[in-house]
Amino acid sequence: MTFIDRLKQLLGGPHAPESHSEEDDRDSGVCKPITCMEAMAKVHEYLDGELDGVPSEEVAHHFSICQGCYPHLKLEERFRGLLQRSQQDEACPEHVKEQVLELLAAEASEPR
Amino acid sequence: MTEPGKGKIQTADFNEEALPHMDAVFRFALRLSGSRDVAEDLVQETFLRAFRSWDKYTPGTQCKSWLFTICRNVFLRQRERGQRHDEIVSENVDRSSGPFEAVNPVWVKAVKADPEGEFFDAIVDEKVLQHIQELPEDYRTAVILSDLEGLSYQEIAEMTDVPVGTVKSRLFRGRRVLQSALYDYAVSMGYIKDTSDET
Repeated sequence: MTFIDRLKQLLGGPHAPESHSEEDDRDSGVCKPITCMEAMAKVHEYLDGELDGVPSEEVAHHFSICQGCYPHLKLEERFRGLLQRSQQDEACPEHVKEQVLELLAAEASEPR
Repeated sequence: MTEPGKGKIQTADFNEEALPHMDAVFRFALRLSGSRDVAEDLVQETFLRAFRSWDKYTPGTQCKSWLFTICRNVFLRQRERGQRHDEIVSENVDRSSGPFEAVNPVWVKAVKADPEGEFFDAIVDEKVLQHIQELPEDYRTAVILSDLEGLSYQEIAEMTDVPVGTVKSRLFRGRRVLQSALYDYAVSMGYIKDTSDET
């Protein structure tokens, strides 16, 4: 590898670029390869199901073959799981529900 | 003169469409305010206001988002009235405004010590809620609506009256701030080894 190639590789991102190459991606014939930086920049939109301009398959393919980026996707997923877990079974207290119903009944009975 | 039976129809529609979202509105109010007492008041005020303006609601549209919008407006007005000037300034000063890197620096550190993210399992729910509460309001609202309630970018944009790009930016920044705070907490508790000094 030349110095210039190595420099380009370093500027492309800090994740184990040896884990796959663009040549491998092209050979697979499945998806257009995207770089580590592109995949990382799109990780939120990918997990939110809100990708704009990049097919979901391309991002998924990158994470599936890149050992450097994959842990970042997993951590992002675990983080979201933690947020979801933090509010499980959080229901409105019964006395508040009753108060709301009483308020609405009083409001409905008022002449307009 | 009131149209005969209109009030009953309105009440029946409201009961069917709006009331099932009471749990969701309570959760939203709780995350937004960080206080059960405030959340209980917000739920009551939200449903009362929603009932009074039910004729402005288009049946079959996103009722939950509509209720969240009312709830947030009530919360912001109450906060504005109760908040001292120095608190408002303090929140503005604490906000991050610089650009974020595509690669999350928190995950770069975490990957070295715990690539599976098992440290998340040790973080108790109260700490998560505390750190959500500490986010600036616009980041907090975006994170709650997207990550906890599953609303789309477009729905959040309409609710908060900002472009979709702003929603994305708030989500990105809000998540990063929250991730950093939770990681620091996990390090301080010994749930994950600090790898900051490792190269």
